[in-house]
Amino acid sequence: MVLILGNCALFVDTLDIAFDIEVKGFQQRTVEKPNNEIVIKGPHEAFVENIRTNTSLLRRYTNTEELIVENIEIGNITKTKCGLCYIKNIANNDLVAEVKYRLNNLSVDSLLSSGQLEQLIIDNNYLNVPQALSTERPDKAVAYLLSGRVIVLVNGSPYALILPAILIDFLGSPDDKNLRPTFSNFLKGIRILATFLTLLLPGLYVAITSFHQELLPTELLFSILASRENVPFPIIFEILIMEISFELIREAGLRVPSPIGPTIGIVGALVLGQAAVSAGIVSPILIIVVAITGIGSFAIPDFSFGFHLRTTRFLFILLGFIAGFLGISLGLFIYISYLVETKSFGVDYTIGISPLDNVKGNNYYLPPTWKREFRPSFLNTKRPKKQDKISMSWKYK
Amino acid sequence: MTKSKINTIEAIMLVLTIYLTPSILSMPKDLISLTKSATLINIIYVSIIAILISIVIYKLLKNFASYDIVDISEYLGGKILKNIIGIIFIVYFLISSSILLRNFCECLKIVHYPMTSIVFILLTFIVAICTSAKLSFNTTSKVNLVVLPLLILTVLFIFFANIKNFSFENVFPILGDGIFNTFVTGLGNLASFTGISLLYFLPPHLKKPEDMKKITITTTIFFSIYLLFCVSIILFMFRFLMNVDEVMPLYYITRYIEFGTFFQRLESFFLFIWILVISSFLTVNLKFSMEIFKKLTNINNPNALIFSFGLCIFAISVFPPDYANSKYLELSISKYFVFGVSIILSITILILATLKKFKRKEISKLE
Amino acid sequence: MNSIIKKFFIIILIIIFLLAFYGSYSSSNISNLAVVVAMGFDVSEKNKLKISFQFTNTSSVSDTGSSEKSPSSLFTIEASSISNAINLMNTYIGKEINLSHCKLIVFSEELASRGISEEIYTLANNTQVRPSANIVVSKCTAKSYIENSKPTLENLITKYYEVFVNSSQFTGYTANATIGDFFYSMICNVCEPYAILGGISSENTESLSSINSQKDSNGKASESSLSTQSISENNGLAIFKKDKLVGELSSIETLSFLIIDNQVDGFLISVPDPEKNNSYLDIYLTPTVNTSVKTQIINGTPFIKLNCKFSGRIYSMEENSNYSDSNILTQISSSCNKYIESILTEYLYKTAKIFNTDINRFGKYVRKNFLTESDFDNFNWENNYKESFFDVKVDTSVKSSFLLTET
Repeated sequence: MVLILGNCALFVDTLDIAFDIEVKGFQQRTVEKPNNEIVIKGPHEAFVENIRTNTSLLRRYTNTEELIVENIEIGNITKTKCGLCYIKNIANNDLVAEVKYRLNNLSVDSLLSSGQLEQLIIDNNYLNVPQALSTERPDKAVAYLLSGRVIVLVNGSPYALILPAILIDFLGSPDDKNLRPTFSNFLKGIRILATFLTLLLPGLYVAITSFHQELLPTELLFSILASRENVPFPIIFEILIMEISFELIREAGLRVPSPIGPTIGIVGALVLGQAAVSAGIVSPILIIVVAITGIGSFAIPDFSFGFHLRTTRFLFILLGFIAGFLGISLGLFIYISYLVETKSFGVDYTIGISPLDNVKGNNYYLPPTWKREFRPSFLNTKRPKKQDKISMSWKYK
Repeated sequence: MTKSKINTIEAIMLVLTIYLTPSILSMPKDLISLTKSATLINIIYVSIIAILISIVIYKLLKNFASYDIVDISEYLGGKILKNIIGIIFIVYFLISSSILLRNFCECLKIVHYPMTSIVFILLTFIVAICTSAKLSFNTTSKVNLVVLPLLILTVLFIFFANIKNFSFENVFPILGDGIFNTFVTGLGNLASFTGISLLYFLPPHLKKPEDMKKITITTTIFFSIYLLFCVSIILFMFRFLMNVDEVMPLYYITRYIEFGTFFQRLESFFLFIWILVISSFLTVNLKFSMEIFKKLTNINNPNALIFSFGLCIFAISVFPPDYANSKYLELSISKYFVFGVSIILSITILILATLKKFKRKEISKLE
Repeated sequence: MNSIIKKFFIIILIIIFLLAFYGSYSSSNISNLAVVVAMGFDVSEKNKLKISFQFTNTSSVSDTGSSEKSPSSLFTIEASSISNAINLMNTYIGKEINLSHCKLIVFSEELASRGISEEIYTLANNTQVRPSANIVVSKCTAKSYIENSKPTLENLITKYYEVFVNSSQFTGYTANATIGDFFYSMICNVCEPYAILGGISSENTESLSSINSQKDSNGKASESSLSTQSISENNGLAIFKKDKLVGELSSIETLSFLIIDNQVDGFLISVPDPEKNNSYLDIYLTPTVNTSVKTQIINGTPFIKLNCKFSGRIYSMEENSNYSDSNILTQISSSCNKYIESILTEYLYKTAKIFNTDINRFGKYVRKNFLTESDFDNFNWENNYKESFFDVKVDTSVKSSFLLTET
């Protein structure tokens, strides 16, 4: 079997085992800059398709013999190599066992990417929220490894899965810890704002203009009225046209061959928007609403979480149209309920959201570096503390 | 099926939901119309009594480690008493929540949906809470963690945003309608302590039953402080007018909030948050009445239960023909139920059960 | 199968809700609304109400950023009640009238002196009317008042309506009287309502004659003759007993009202110069603490003690004046004290003896002297106010002038 795979077997006299040595080499992509998760102060290396390169990256960053990489094969036909990585003296045993159990009990014919794997091993999927963090950055992966989480690498996929993942992880960028806490907390605040804007802004616009116009300041109401004077459509129709054409532009921009890629963005966004306004089909204020929503969705660091928000906003537009604030508020209530119900590998998805949750080491906002004493307590790690109470001992000892 | 337990802070929030939510509606105004300008003194006085009552309840409940009132009444009087008590509490939870829902929707209809039949406004709430109640008990209590702080924030916001309009002279004449009215008739204000009823059902759900003392006392004290805020908003804001009754006094006051010429009429945002709070309150009530019903009958089909109980709430809330009737129901129910059931009846049962327990102990000692 | 039923059920539910809420949607959707920015109430010849609605043409705020002044249109309707008028108006203009952006409610003097409780109750009961809408009693008809309210510096009429009352905070010539406040003062038993007094001023006629009291005319008499076209002017207060107009306050009396009610941030006042006869000094005064009101009941009559504190700076400057001398400043201060005390006392006795209306809400301070609600009710404050005695103490400290201290 070893030989069929093209490996080399090494037999040593007096030993009753043989060594399986991978000696074959393929043409493969070298380690390059990350394409989709760009940071300013962090390292510029990304995972590649080959799982061995990836594990070696992880090992180079962690530099400890406690990093365990367990090989698991998934897929009856493809037998895709997957690597389950964790740090032995930090990660919780139950968590590792649970992940291993789920990985070992998949009866699929093939597994081609980590995106598929994610959907196969998560608990439930009421809201289409992403429940596993995927990253192409080894430094991000290692940071999570060291905080006690488990990483799954899939051969042939340049993305690593980080398990478990909770809601606030999706609003964090790997650069946060490289910046001063004031700056990164400011950015984190902006991201929360972006989340709410993406999710609710178009819905609220529809709700306010259809049911609650007294909320608007008089001058704003008049400028909305004036801008809508020649628009033939009702607001709901108007906003759906623009939101859908925004999604169209986004999707089309992805398909276009890269040399003319930027052109379609400009043509789509600027020309179409301008033309729509001057043709009197949509009002300029609505263009602003749609644009802010779109920009907000791209301010969210995690792609799939941004996607989730973008799809859910249509629901809120509908609710806002049906019953104004009543609809949106009840929708939000159900949304929060399901979000709270969601679990990622036994961890509550919304930990740290409520101001009354007292979770050590996993506040949304970062404390100063010297104060980051604890690993997230919901992970139940073997080493709850990651640094001494006085970490800057040069100063205080 | 493992029964999920809740931790202390969640339990506190659960009880507070039951306590705080009625304050959105006419509750603070009702307090004031009973005791006039002496309401603040009266509330301090009533809160002390409420704290004493909750300590008594805690002491009595402590004897029955993780039993709730239904189990205790079974211990005391067998199946029959268990059923009676269970049904009384189910009725209480259902009626109180549906009347609150009705009054709130009445206000929503007046303010925002003049052309929509109230039945449909009620129905939206029922659909929402049924969807949310399908989830686990833990979820219900955790949603409170997110939603309830918003309510507290809104009340604080109303207080500080209106502080420029307050006239603090309104606490005078200091005794209101006289000593008798403040301290004897004013005991009627104890009816606002609705959350006491939930205390009897908490013990089996707690992760740490030994924290029960903390829960009872914190919630009662917190509610007293909150009530002081709520009442002082209304007391200081309006220059003494007993003859005018607003549909939702707190909402009415939010209309006065303005910051410059740009931020005026923010009241819809408050309604937005309060809708969340009301739905959360309803879900808690629905969940607890389901739990009691499960205990009584051993039915284990939660879906059917949710929809039948949701329909119950809907039916009761549609029942009053107009606002005057539902308002009257709200007042009388809160009075009779809070006094009759959650204070007198339950404490009597607890005392009798404790006596029985001690007697048994003595008998077993003698033997 | 089950999931198909579920999906079907959800779709049916959405359709039901869509239909159920559609009525409210079409009634409150912004494109179906006619936004009223001001309302006026007059009495017609047939003793009916004549109600004027002012609308703004939104096209004036169009994409170029509105360089032109916004044209606004005024419709007047004769009806027996407000709701009736709104109904009639709806049929005329074919859109639904919405009062939630109504910034100004004008009553004509004639109507106000007949009593306006019915209108005020109706407006307070209306969910759309904002409690912060200003209430004006106009000396002319409400219609012509609104017609002649033209924004001078702003483009939008609503902006003008919002802004003009704010001047009271630093001039003290009128007060920010709102309808919410009016309503509560009307029904409460310790206070009485007031409204802004408005009128039309033009070059030739002097319609606000009662306001421009000659005594204090230095700073502002030219105001009314400044404009070349006739515009509406707001100056002074209209004061009510319950819902009936009983009198007017001139601008200096309004200032006294604002000082006692702590509604003014600073004001200019001309006091007699202690050194020169027949000359006046303009002083800019700012209250340093809130006016303290102490009340006592002596032999069944209320005795009200007021204490105001100001700090001031001298505004007017002449040749050969020296404001760096503390003696002179003390003299000016005492002159100030005397002058303001006399104004306040005069004002207070006027409200008590002539008008018998407690617009300063002394009633709420008087309540302190009673233990229970019924004691206070027996005292019958509303009728006893006219028996009140006042003692006013003013404590001014004039600090200096502004940039020049000595000339």
